[in-house]
Amino acid sequence: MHEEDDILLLNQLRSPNGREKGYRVLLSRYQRRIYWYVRRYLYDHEDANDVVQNTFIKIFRGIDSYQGQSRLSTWIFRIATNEALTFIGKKKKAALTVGERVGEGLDVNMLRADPYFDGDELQLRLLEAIETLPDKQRIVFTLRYYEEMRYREIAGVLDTSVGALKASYHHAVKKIERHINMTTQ
Amino acid sequence: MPEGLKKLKGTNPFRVPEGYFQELEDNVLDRWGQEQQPLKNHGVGSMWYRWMAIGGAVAAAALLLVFFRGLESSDRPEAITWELTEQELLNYVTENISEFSEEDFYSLESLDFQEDLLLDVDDLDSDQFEFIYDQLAEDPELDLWEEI
Repeated sequence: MHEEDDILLLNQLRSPNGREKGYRVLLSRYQRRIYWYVRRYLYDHEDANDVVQNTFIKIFRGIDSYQGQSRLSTWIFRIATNEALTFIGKKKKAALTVGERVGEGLDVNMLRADPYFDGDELQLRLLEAIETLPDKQRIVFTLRYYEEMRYREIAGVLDTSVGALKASYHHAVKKIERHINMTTQ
Repeated sequence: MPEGLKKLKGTNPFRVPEGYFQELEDNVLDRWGQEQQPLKNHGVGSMWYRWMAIGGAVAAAALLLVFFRGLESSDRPEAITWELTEQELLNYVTENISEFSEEDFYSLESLDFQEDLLLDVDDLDSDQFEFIYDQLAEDPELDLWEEI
């Protein structure tokens, strides 16, 4: 995505006459990327749908106060990340309240039964491995491996240093490799 | 990159219902449109609603003021020191009270990364980085990285 396109879009969103069209442009430009990013983090379509809708509502609410200190895409991914983390936190809290077990890893059987999942065994092993990572390491891995985001942009999303991200990503890759090797032997 | 990850790169095991993305766009715009409806939609109760909202905002502002003042008077070395006057602080929280929620506080907390623990390796290329990584891989302290 060209930065110039986003600058034009921002101008449109801030103009009273272009705002309505600007919302549609922003949605069509980012909805797929944000959806797949969130979906890979939450797995469940309905959960991802809720988080993505909330993300765009927050983007619309905040567009006038967006200062442009980071790229528009960076800011959008940052909001989506916060929304996904908040959602996970609430879900864990709710599960604890009703006495469900949490933190037991990926429910492979539930995923197999999901009509919107058709991954093979290797895909399942990968998801299982990703699920073992701490939350923030999972985000780093998802943004780098799936979104192919540059370290500098991930640093903007997570407000951390590039060195930290490189360490985190390589550590995640090693752990995933170990998990896949161990479970496929 | 390990073989398994290379093999799966670019694949996507997840699917969405047919027409989902068109619906998503419409649903978000519908929600946004509803949110933009003026307060008059509250009908005969609108005046009551406004006064309740103002009263709630002032009460919440007072609570926040007490909370922030409590932090300021803390004897912890990292305690926040405010340069705002009491009136400025009250004005700020009153004007921005709609922006505060439990969810917002939670979100801020969730991005509290431990940067102090990190190596400054921003300028290393991938080969250099992997070499150092492999050297350190056996270090028991490495577990500290997991929470980065």
